[in-house]
Order: sequence, then structure tokens, then C-alpha cells
Amino acid sequence: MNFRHFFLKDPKRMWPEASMLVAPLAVIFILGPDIYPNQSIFMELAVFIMLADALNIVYGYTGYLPFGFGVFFAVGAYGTAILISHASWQVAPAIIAGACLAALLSLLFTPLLRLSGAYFAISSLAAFEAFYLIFSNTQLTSLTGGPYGISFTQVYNANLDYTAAVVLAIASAIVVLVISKSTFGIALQAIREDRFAVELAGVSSLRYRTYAWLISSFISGIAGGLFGWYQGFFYPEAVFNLTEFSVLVIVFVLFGGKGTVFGPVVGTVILFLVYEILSLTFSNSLLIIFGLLLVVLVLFIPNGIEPLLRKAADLLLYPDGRD
Amino acid sequence: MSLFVDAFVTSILYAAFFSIAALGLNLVFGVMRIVNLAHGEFLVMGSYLAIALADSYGFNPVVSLAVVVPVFLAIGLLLYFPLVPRLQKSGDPEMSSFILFFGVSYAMEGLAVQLFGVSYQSLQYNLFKPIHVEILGYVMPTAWVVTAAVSVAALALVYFYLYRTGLGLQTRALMINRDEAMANGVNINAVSAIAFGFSIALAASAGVFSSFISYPTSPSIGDTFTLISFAIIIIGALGNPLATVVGAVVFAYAYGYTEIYAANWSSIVPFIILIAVILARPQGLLGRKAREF
Repeated sequence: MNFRHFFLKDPKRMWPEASMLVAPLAVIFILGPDIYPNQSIFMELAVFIMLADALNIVYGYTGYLPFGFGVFFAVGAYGTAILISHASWQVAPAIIAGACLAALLSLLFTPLLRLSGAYFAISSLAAFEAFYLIFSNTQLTSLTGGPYGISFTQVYNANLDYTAAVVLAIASAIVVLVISKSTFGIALQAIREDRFAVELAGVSSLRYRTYAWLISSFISGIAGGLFGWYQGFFYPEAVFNLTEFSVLVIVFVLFGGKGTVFGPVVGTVILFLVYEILSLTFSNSLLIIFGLLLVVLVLFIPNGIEPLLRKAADLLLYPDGRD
Repeated sequence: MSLFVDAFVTSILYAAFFSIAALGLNLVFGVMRIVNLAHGEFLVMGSYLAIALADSYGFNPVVSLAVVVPVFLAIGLLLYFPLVPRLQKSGDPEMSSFILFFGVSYAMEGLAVQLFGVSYQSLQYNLFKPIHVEILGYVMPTAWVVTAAVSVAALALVYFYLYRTGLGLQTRALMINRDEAMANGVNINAVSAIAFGFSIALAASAGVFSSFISYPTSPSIGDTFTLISFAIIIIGALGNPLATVVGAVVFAYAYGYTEIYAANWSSIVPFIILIAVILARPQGLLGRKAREF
């Protein structure tokens, strides 16, 4: 493995974009809980930003859509919970170990990366269901808590967890930025556009996709661990939640703009807000509204709002055209 | 009669039902290269229509088919034109279709909750008289036998359409090679729209019988049907409608026997088989190449 691929071609050019990512997020997360005093909503937002960035690395940059991608989130949460409640680990190593478990699981599924799109999406969905049924099985109650959930309230610390989640959410956005500017990211995009040309150029597309897959599952695992820690107790349905931690994330990424640095973050912040408002005001027709929103999104703005925002910003900054 | 033999016989009936439940999904994938994640929801809607017809008019499910099939054929045709052609112009129709139809399935599930509530509903076995029949020494519910018979008839019809009609020939051409079929004058929109309509109608007809033979009907059961259908068509071969029957037989027997010997784990079976088949033989048991390299 040659780590040179992961280094930046030109690190200095990253600063303006990095600050444009970090500053607004820092403002939202620091001032947000003061304006709207419900920390758990901002906690969830941080978790979703991590997941959106993780998904973006796989879906946006390699073009592979792991539909049941929430399985890594759930395994991260369960790994963390089991290590804390059964082995009395400290929180930080437990979350990292949980994320490593998620990455290990993704390694197990690397043969799936050889498959073409639909097979990959479907089999990841099947893996999600299989793991849900394993973790919630009554015969494993002594280890996973089975359908009755798992509790590890002895380490509960909401404020510390919130800080960690915010820092890591911003860090994951930076990871995507670094990837997009590195040779690695460019290789991934090239693979997405034309796998065969890349293979002819002597680049192993499978290996690059595997790296992306590993990074993505690790970040999802971290998000899962942090989410689990914040809850202190959860049922299997809470983390193996296909709607929230897979589909919603896919929607966020798609809405923002897949394969872009800002898209997933912007998309998550905006749509998460919309989703929360919708679920408070129209809880009855939430599914219908969100379903139709998805349909409209795919049919009419398949590239998300990032290109539109970029065009608007260009018009504002350079009214007479760029050069 | 031993449990083992009993399971062997009921699994045949199961297989017939699940072939029909999954067949439409495969037809759509084969012809349009898109994945209809709302498949199970159409099945559930068919089921609700049959239950409503039985409740208000006392319709026997076989009679309900005469209403359900045309209604859902029309729904399928109407849905095809705003959704599919536009989808196929996008960069990656296969992946986009996943998200699009997930949206459709959400909307339909929400609609079902609003219209029918979240409780479980079923058709009554006594819609058929007598309730039980004896075939070759086995006593079983008439509803199951009728389900299997209708499924076999539907399979025969699909076979007839695909292999004995001009449109069927065009459909198969489209499945084998889209570009060449287009170059040879196959009317893609007409053929695809009909296949889409058939697919929805098949799902809904399976739904008419689903509450007898598999799960009681509820808005959330659609996902389960979608996933089982996926497992079945991948075990058979994606894009080859008649291989669905093979997938359904494998699924039905695996499910039937784990239900007896390890009931706790039976719901995992379709997914384990699915993953195993995908890893060992991604083209399915009867398929051609699927792996890219």
C-alpha cells in the first residue's frame, strides 16, 4: 500500500475551503443549543453530518450506493455498547474499537465491491437485514440484549459526547475535503467515470474502492458509537433504523450534491431542519411528503443543490463573469 | 404424516406463491434495468383492495382478481410515463431508481397508513368452501391450494406472453441487448410500459392471496415482501423472469425447513442465502455473467 496517494497535491489551496466548512458549522453547533435549547437535535445533526460525509466517500466518489449502509452505524453502536457494558472499557477506546469492528465488517463485504451496481445495493440491504435479525435475536440476549435493548448508562455524559460529536463531524467534513484534493480522490472519481480506462492505466480500481469503503465504514462506526453513548440505552430498532440512518442520509447527500465537498454538509443541515419541522407539524403525512420529495429530487435535481448554490455564489461575487 | 414430509408439500405451495410475488420485480429489472423498491407496497395495496372487496361485497379472492388485475395494470401504465422515461435519461438509472422507488414506497406506505390504519388485516379462510381439502392424502386449507393454482396459471400466462407473442419477443430482445433492440425498431416505451403494468398487476395479484399464505397485511409489511422478492430473483437470476421460479423453490424450501428446525432464525434465511449466492455465484443459479471483472 502506497500512502503517497493520500497526500495532498497542494495543501495550501485547501485553507479557504476548509475555513468555509468549519466556520459555519462551528457557529451552528456552538450557538445553536443556546438559540433552540434542545441539545439532542444538534447531536443528531452532528451524527448525520458524519454519516453523510461517510456515505459521500462511497456513493459520491465511487458511484457505489450501499443501500443498507446503516449496518456500519449500528455495528459501531453495538460494538461500543457491548465493550462498555460487558468489558467495562473506557468510552474513547470503546468507540474506536466499535468503529474498527464496523471497518472489519466492511472488509468482510469487500467481495461485494466486485459486483455491479444493483447487486451491490441489494446485497448491502440484505446484509443490513441479516445483521439486524442477528443482533435482535432472543437467543443472543446475554450478549446484545436481544430485542430488549442494551444499556450502558454508567458512562453517560451528554455534554462531553456532544463536544466529541461536533469535533468529529467537522473532522469528517475535513476528511472529505482532503480526499477530494488528493490523488486518491481523483483516482476514485476517475474510477466512477470510467472504470475500464482506469484499469487500463494500471490503477487497481478494486483496491481504491476498498480504501474508500473502509474509511466510510469507520466514520459511520464512530458516528454509531457516539450516538449510542448519547442515548445510554437503545433498542435494536433505534440503531438498525433503515429509514433514518440509511435512507435519510442518502437523501441528504443527494439533495446537497453527491461527490462534492460542501453538498452533503449543506444538504444535511437544510434537510434535517426541514425533516424535524415536518415531523413536528405533519407527523401524520410525514412519510407521504418525504416520499414525494424523494421522487421530485431524483427526477428534477439529480445533481443536488450544490451546483446551483455555486452558480449563485459566482454570480454574487463576480457579477461580470469570472476571469 | 411426519413433519418433514409435511413441510415438503407445503413448501411447493409456498414456492408457487412466491414466484408470482417476485416475478414482476424481475420483469421490470430485466426490461428496464431499474429496481422497483416499491414492489412490496404494490403487493400490499393489492391485498388491501382484495380485503375491501371481500368485506363489502363478500367477493371470493379469485373473483377479486377480475377487479384487482385491471386496476393495477392501469396504475402501472399511468405511473410508467411520468417516472421511468425521465429516470432513464439520468446519468445512472439503476442507482437513481433505487432512491426514486424508495420514495414511491414511502409515499405508498404513508398512504396505506392513512387509509387503512396500522393494524394487521387478513382474508378469512372461510371465503372458500370447504375450508380444507384433501389432496393425495394431505389435508390442507383450500385457500393455499387455490393460491398455488392461481400462481401457476399466472406463470403460464407470463410464459405465453414472453415466448408466444410478438410483444413478448420484443420484450425478450430488449432484455438481452437494449441498444440492438432499439436499432431493430423495438418500441421501447410501449414494451416497457406494458412490462411495468404487468409487473404491478402481478404484484397486486400475489397480494390478493398474501394474507392467506404468508404474512397478514399491514402497511409496513411491504418492505419484507420487497426484500424477499429480491432474494428470490437474485437466487434465480436477475433479469431472467422464468429463473424466478427456481429462486422461489430454493427460498421456499430453505424457509420451510428452518421454520421447523430453527424457528428463531427462519427470518434471516432469505438474506443469508441471498448473500451466499451473491458471493459465490452473483449471476444467480441460472444467470449469465454479472461480475464486472
